[in-house]
Amino acid sequence: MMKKIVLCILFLALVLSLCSTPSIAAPAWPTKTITWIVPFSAGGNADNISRIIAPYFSKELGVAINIVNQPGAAGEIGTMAIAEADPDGYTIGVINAPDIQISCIVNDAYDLDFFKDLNYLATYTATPISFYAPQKSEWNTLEKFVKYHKEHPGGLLFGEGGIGHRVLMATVMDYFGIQISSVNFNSVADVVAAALGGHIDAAGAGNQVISQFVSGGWAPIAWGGTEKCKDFPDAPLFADMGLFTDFLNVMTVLLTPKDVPAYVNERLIEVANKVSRIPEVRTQLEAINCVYYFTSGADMDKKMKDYYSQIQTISEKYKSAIVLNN
Amino acid sequence: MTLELLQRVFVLDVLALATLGTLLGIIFAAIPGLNAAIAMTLFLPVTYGMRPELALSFLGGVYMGGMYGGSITAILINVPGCVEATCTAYDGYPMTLQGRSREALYYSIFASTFGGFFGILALVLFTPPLASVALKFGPPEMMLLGMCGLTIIGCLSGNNVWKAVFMAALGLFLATVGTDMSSSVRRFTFGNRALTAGLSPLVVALGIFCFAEMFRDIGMRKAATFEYKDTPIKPSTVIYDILVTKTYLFCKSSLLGLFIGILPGIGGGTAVFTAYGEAKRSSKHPETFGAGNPEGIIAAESANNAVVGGALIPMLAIGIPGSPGVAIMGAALTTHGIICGPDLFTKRPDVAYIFMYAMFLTIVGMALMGIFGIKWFSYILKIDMYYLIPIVTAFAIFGAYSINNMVSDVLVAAISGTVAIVLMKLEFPVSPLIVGFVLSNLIEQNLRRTIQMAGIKQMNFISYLLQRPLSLILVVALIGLITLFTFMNPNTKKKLQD
Repeated sequence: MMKKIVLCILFLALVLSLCSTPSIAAPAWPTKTITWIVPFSAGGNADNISRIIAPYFSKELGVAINIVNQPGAAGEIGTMAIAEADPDGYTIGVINAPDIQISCIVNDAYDLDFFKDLNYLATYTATPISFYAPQKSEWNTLEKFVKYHKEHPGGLLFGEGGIGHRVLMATVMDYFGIQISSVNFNSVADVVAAALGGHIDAAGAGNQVISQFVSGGWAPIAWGGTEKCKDFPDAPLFADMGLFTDFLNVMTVLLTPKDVPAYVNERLIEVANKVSRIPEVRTQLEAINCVYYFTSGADMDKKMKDYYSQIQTISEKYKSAIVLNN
Repeated sequence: MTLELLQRVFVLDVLALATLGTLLGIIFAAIPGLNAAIAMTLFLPVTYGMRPELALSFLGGVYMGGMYGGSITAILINVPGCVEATCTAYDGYPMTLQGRSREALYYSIFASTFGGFFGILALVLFTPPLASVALKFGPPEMMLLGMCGLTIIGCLSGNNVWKAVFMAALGLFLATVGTDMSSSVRRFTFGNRALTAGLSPLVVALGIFCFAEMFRDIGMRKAATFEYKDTPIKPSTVIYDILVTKTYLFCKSSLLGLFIGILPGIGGGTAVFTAYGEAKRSSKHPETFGAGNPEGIIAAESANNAVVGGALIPMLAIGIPGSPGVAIMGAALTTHGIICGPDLFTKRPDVAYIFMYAMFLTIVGMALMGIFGIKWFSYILKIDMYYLIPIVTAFAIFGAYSINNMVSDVLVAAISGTVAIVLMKLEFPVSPLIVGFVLSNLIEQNLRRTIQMAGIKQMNFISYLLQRPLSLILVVALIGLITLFTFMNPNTKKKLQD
């Protein structure tokens, strides 16, 4: 009798334990350290943003996140490492838009298929690009800058720090029907140095370096984004002129390889949304002069693809200005 | 204000972190393939929890220690821990072979200490004016400066200047491999993705100096291929020699290091090559360079540590990093919500000044560790070769991998090492290759910018250069240096005498 009771209890326990587990449950993820690839050097903007965000993800997911910098070829090496990683959810990473779209469009040798190789999950930043000029120059407003270029096509040394800046330059050329001649530098820091040394006449650079420009007697002549520059309210917004440059805002986008299981992407989006509601995240990102802008999931994916089409249109028209041949 | 700040410098946490950073910097740089920038990247996340001045003092220590540490293995086993220690090996290792390793290590630590002090003193006293001088160097001037640096191959050429020119040209060429960022064109990548990122000068230098040295040593039993002697020397003798007998050499090398450090994006390697070349050019006995002349160590080590103060100047004054290591320090500050540049001195002067004063602590720490460590460093020479080769090679493999987290870099280093051995057998000097490699991007990118700028201003290239006063001075300097190095070459001298 006793044996039967014990057996019944054991059977009941087994049934209960089975009932408590859903029959078609998502596998437990994550259970081990996640590698977060940053395709740029340590100390860069994408790296800084990743190092701010990743600890919050780590806390929410309950596993360690290991940030690995894989710089080279303007992010291509690291981006391909993410795209070609095992799609098990343990290798994720970030890339910078719009650089990734531009590279895929203008660089025929880029192995990445923008639409097929990656899932675009979320971003926390969208930092606009602006135009700057010396305050004492003849072209110290956008109006004068355009007028000067109409009179002297391509006559100013326009410093820019990358392909995204050249697309903005091409967008402005297209809108005003002018020709701008660019001098290409490796980074925004180099553009600022050239500006402060008086080696260039005007520049395209992110909103985040305004204080460095101002210290050398420069000021914005056209401001990216949706809010006017607090210190220079006279600088018009590109948007006010009907020139929408949102697609060129620099976004550091969280991604996974294309074939990652749906539950991994869903969980990451869920965590991204949760992290976006933590006030410190915004404070920390704004402290490094990023413009806070959160979007995730389907919206993020749609934005990336819409921006691709816009960049493609302008890039095809102004390829020679964007892809320098000398 | 100053007294209050000094009180905040001499507190336990600043002292401890600055010292710890310096120690880690020395250790990392002494390991072949690792360097200060790698150590700083690795420890960057650790600094997020620290107060900003502590984070900077810690990373500043790593940077300062890293500039010295590479010289230890350069002197003892002819394996420079990093590119900046390359020239130290030229004279340091011959001194070790002569049983003067202790003397060489004293020269290295004292030259590093005084050079570091020189740089940080300039940082504290002259940041704004020096930063504005650096800004005067635009693309044409940077290009010409790179070309002036290239003339140093005249000093490193040995007996056959054409072989040196060939090697420098090879270095210039190898650095062009990879994706050209302006045109998106892939140069000499042969469809290999790993090559699209280009070849890193760190990886190639690691191959040439570390892998090659280890490959050559295979089969030897002891680290030193000579009877190990440790000739005693008083530290005060070395200090007197650097500061009193060779004041001019020390000041000139430190000044070169400081100045080249200030110019953004040039880095310590160029500073060291230039200072070493200049020391040899101005020496009464240039033939003793490369054969154990302490002046070579003084020039190289005082220059590379003076770079630290120099590279920090544009970062603190205008937010433009002078080197990759300093860029990481800038990143550490941004995560604390502090942007380097003019805002730093107006919004958080405490952070800026505590950091600058704490850099003096890192120098003191480095000096103490260097002086008291000499006794222990020499033990490396007593290790059996069959232990040393695998250990150094393992570190070198790890170092090559850690630069970009790419296995292909290890392969590049190993191939560079093998090719270097063949080239050395054929009596091709390998140092000009590194000089060409390090300067290639600087020259090429600024040449292209200058061509763009001249075109936009509708001038021809030469007229554009000559109408810029600073460029004109550099053109004259370049012609002067080429002439000097041509006449310094033993073969040319001989021909002239005949």
